[in-house]
Amino acid sequence: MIAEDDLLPYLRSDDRRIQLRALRSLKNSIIGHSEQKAAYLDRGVLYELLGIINTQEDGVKDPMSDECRIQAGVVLSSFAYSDPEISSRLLTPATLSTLVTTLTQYSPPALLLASLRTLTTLLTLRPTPSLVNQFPGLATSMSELISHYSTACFENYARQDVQSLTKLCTLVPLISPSHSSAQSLSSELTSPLIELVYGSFKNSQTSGVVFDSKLQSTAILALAHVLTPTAARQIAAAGPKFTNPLLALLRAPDTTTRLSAASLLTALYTSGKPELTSSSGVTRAPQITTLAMTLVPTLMKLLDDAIAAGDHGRNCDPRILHTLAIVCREGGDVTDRCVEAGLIKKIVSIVVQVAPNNHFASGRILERDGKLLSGSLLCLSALGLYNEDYRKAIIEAGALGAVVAVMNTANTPAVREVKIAACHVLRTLSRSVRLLRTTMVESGVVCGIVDLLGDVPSEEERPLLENVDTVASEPEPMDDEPVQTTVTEVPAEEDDEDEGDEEEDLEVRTAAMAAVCNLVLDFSPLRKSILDKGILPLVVSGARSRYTPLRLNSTWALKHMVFGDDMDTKDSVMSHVGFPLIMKLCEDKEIQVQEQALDFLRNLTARSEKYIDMLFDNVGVDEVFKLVDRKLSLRVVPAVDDSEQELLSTQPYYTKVIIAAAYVIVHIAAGDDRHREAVIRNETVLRKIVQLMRHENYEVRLACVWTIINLTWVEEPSRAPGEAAAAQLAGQISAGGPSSDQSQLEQSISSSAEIYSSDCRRRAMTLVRFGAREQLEYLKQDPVLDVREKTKTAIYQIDSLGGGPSLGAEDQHVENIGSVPSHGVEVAGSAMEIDSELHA
Amino acid sequence: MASFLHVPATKSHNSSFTTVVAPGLADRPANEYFVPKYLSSTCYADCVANSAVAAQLASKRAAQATGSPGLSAASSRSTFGLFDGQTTPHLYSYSDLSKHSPLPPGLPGFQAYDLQESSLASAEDVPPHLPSCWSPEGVSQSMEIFGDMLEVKFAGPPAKGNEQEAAAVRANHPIPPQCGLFYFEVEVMSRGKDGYAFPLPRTSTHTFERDDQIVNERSFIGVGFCGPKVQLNKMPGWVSDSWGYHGDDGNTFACQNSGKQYGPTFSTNDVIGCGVNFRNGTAFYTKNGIAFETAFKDLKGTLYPAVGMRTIGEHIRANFGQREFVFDIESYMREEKAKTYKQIHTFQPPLELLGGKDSATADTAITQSIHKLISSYLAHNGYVDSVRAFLGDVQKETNAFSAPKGVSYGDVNGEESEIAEDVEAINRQKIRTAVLEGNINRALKLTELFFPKVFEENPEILFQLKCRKFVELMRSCALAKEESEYTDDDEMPDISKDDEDTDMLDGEAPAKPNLADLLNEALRYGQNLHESYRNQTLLSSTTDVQKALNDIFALMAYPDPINSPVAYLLAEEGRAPVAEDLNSAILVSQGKSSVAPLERLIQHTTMLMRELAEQGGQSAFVNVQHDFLAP
Repeated sequence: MIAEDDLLPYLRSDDRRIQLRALRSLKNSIIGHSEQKAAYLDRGVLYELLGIINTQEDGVKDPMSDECRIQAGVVLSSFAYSDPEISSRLLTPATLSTLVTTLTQYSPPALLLASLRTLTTLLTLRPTPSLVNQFPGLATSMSELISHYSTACFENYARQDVQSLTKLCTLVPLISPSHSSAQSLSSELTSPLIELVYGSFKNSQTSGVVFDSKLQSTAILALAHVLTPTAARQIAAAGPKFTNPLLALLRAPDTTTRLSAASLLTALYTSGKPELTSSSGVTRAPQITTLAMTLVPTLMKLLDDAIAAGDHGRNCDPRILHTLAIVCREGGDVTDRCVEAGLIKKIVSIVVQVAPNNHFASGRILERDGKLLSGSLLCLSALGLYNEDYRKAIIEAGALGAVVAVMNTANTPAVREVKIAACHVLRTLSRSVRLLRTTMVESGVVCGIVDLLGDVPSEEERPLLENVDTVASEPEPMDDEPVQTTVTEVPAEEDDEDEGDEEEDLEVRTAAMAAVCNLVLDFSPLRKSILDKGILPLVVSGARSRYTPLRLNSTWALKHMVFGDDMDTKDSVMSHVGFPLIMKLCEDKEIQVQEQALDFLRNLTARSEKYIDMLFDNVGVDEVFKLVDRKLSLRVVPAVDDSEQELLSTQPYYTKVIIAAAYVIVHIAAGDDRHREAVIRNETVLRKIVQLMRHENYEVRLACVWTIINLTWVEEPSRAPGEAAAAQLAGQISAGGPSSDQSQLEQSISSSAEIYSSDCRRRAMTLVRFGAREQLEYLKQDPVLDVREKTKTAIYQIDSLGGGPSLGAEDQHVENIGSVPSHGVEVAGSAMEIDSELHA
Repeated sequence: MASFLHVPATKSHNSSFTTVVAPGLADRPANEYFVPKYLSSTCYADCVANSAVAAQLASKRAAQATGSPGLSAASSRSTFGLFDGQTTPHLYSYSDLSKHSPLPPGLPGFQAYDLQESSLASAEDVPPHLPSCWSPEGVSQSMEIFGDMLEVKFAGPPAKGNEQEAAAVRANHPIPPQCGLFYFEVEVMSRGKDGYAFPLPRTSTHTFERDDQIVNERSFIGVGFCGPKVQLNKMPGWVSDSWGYHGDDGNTFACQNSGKQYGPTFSTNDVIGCGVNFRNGTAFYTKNGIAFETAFKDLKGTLYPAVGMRTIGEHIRANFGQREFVFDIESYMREEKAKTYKQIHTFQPPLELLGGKDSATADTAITQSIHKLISSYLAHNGYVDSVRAFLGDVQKETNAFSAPKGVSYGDVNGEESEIAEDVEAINRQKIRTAVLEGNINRALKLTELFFPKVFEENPEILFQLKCRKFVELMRSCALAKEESEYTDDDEMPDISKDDEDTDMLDGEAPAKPNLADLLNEALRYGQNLHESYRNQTLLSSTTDVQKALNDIFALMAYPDPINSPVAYLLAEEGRAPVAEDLNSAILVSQGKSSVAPLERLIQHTTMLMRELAEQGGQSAFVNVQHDFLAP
């Protein structure tokens, strides 16, 4: 035995035996003694230990050296296993990199187990940036270790192997906390984890011995964590041999097992799910809904038990709420059942309990509370996503105060996830026009959101590993440089924009941008205060980001800003945005960004000859039509490895791009004569429009008919341009409610029947030449009422300009006069729908 | 994908619930006991299983007596037929009861099998049935029962304008309180003609993306339970002795027609569950697998599951445990059990009962009693070394903690006398081992050797051993035969591990006997047995010698006894009772108790719990056998 107070010199000894004895004495003297641990840390014991663990063998196997490394590892894990104050002192880049290097098959098993213990303890302590991004080899060695220990476990089920394997599985989510880093682990870890989980099922069935339930549940949770859509579909396709045991586990006595099964099943069937489009919008595949129905009782029970366990659910496993959030995003019956079971009230009670305002006033939030809060808030946002009553219920239950409190909390790593979740709640709530106009006005959310958008992390919050010498921090993987665009001028700051932006910050900005989207609509009372905060440059910079979700949401926000007739806002937006950026976004690699960018143009050009001119002047008439032509010609071109489901899931966005492009033409055709002439001169686009009148999506067909109506509308010569605009506005309103149709009808029939315009006639003839008249005839039988009605208007206008079929034209005419409900230059709505997917 | 939902991993009807067959009394048709999975570990389930075993034995004997041994097997198969899923559902209308017998012949699963020998099962021994289907005797005229007696449809005529008019059906049996918890589910197949689904008015006309259409669906169906005399023309809950949860308003009704706001409405495709908990006399409901709070309190009396309907076309299907439930009732059961045990553990009996004036002396007294129980049990069963080691440890512990205070452990030390009887205990242990190994010869010889008076005093034990010996011989034959079917070799492999031992003792059995020799030996022994006991009755015992002989000789009637209806006789499990009886007989002959105090304590507790459970209450959740003694 060496005297305790002078162990440090012995740790530095070259004699392995002395070192080993010192390590053992150290181990015995610190176990359970926090003061001792603190004292040794003060004297720099950490670096001695790391040095010993790092001892490299020079090809010669030295048992003594191995033993020293093991003991040092065990001592280190003993330091980690203390109160947070002490263990957080271990959390240094050097510790992490040393521990990570021991994670190989070639380390002594006891050292590996000790390292795994230390790592899991430390990483649970505090959110740490994805280790997999910092250590490129980590994924591979994890994969090898999991395979190795799985085999060992299935062969002889040794206790130490089970422990190591359990810790390895626990580590998987800890080294890849962000979504993208988890997905990056997938290629390495999916198959060994599937083997392990499936093996655990088989093992239980064949040997009758119940497989270690902790190992099984951590393995299932790890698999759920790294699951990609492709892997999910492969497993689902493998059939019931994998899913049936999982379903049975939903009723296991052990709650963690039940939770793990629920989260894997959720991941299996919601990631990469196909979204089927129908004429009425997006519907979910029925089997997903059925599965969600099975999961709801399990998850609700887990939540109820956690709440009943005391402390008002404060000790609830956050993963219950995260899984519930994913399930609830299905909407429909699934959400109804959760609400029926009182989920809104239960969650709000947790939120209110965990997030009292004074808790945030201190600017600190515990990691554990943070996860629980973010899960709860995500769940609330999912519950209200598709249902106005539930949004109302969320407000009535008193959630908004907590959300605002979260938004206005000082930024710390622990609060980051919570703020993202709070943004999602705000976005969900802002879907309600009523709430936008009432409760949210007073809530004081604006400052919080704008702060998040412009947020730059301060120095001490910088991620821990940024200055690790040994490992160069990997830059955010970015797309290749922009694809060929018509616009050559790319802002110079583009490339530097995101440098140094950590993925985590981008996620926060993305979520905040999603919350902004609805708040900047023209009927939102918050619009002015948000814009006054100088948000525009932040949004524009978001639209330039190379981080796709942020770029998408920013483009979306821009689209909403130019919605409506507030010319001042449009002016100020255009002063910041500039057409080059918009044109670039129209050619974005991501189809959903294209959709938003074209919707931006659609909104910009609506009822505004000024902006049509601005577009033509800045981009060039030919370029505009070339762009529209390209978009109207879009076909889904699946990537080589895309499966059918992926094709199904992106299909709607291609159609939406076509719709947006078509409406740009509708709006230009609603401009003055010059604009209409520009359209009619563009034969390629016109032919496309005529072709698209047979498109399977009714909105595309409707846009085409509107184009024809606008091109053949005969304006009263006596009307001043201002009056014409007023008429257009009236037409717009009439689209919202049928009540005003009658007066419009009478007004228009009298005028349009008499007035003759040679330009209109010529345009009508051109359209007829391209086959528009035949197509319209076909659309008279359209299944969608709106299309049929507008078709009648279009036919009436063309025919009254002499473009009708020569035979029986008179009958047609008479018949039409009686039934045409409304016409006039109609700009047919701007785009402001919000996508149902969360981009975070 | 959809096919595996709500279906457990190994889905077959047999695995999700236990079916045991118990022939009823002579004048009743066969009755099936359905013990759903969530009740499988209860005392009630054990009672059912016990009575089933008894009945099975009886039926086997009966079958033998009538010379048609296959009958009992056929009967057991046919009862499985009720829920085998193969049967096409037939629509039986019970609206005119006079035309039908209560249980129409030919209904799958109800083939009457009249037990000819009914002496074995007395009325008290038969546990009450659980509700398992709707009752053709307890159904409104407006309703039809069909689909394995689980589905009910409102066929009309509709209620004549009167809101209070309805139709109800109740289950075939009341819920026996001794099951502790009863749960059933009702799936609404159709909400009927007048149930409705209407979109609720939107609170806001503006939505700028997909918002779900909120559809509120209701049905005029009520789910609950009622007493035996409740009229069948009212909804459950509307009249006295009747409780229900209604789909049109989501209200619960307890014996009166004004409701109480309880849960959501329900309609087509919803699964409503109803649980009656006898631990605290409450009931709760579930909808689609999610439980709501307690609905009713202070429940008692005879309660039948019941469903009420009000409009034409309403159609439900019940699940009394035949299929997996949508709600996880097994978790609920586990929790209820845990609550019961928590209460038991927190109970503080009066100190004087524990033999102490203060808690310290009481604790000491308890510890001493426990030590005594353990050492006497070990000694009783002849685990001599264990007794020594145990007492040694106790002594050490006592010295370490209590010696300074001088607390006397005199009682424990008093066990010394038992240790002195080491030899006797060791011998009993040897005999027991021999019986458990199936080496009856050795057991006979050892008993003769060490305890010569036992057989003299207990001729029925000798008879029992001899019978077992015959069974063991038949068993050897059967195993040898089975093995010969797998090996082409004429020579038989070892059939018994203790051959060597047997050789040493009596040199009787050859190391590798062939099948013919074995059979001969068995026959010879059987003949001897028959000869010596042919006209004997053992006056002192209740053993029916002739019946016992008939039973075991039945083994010879089958060329392949292992796969015959009497295979149960060959089971190794049959050795333990013989060993127990022999051990007890030896102990009695030595002037000791035949049962160890620990065993007596268990027997006593078990019986107490059973008695208590008859009235329902907490004790139904305690199963001494399962919770403490199961491996």
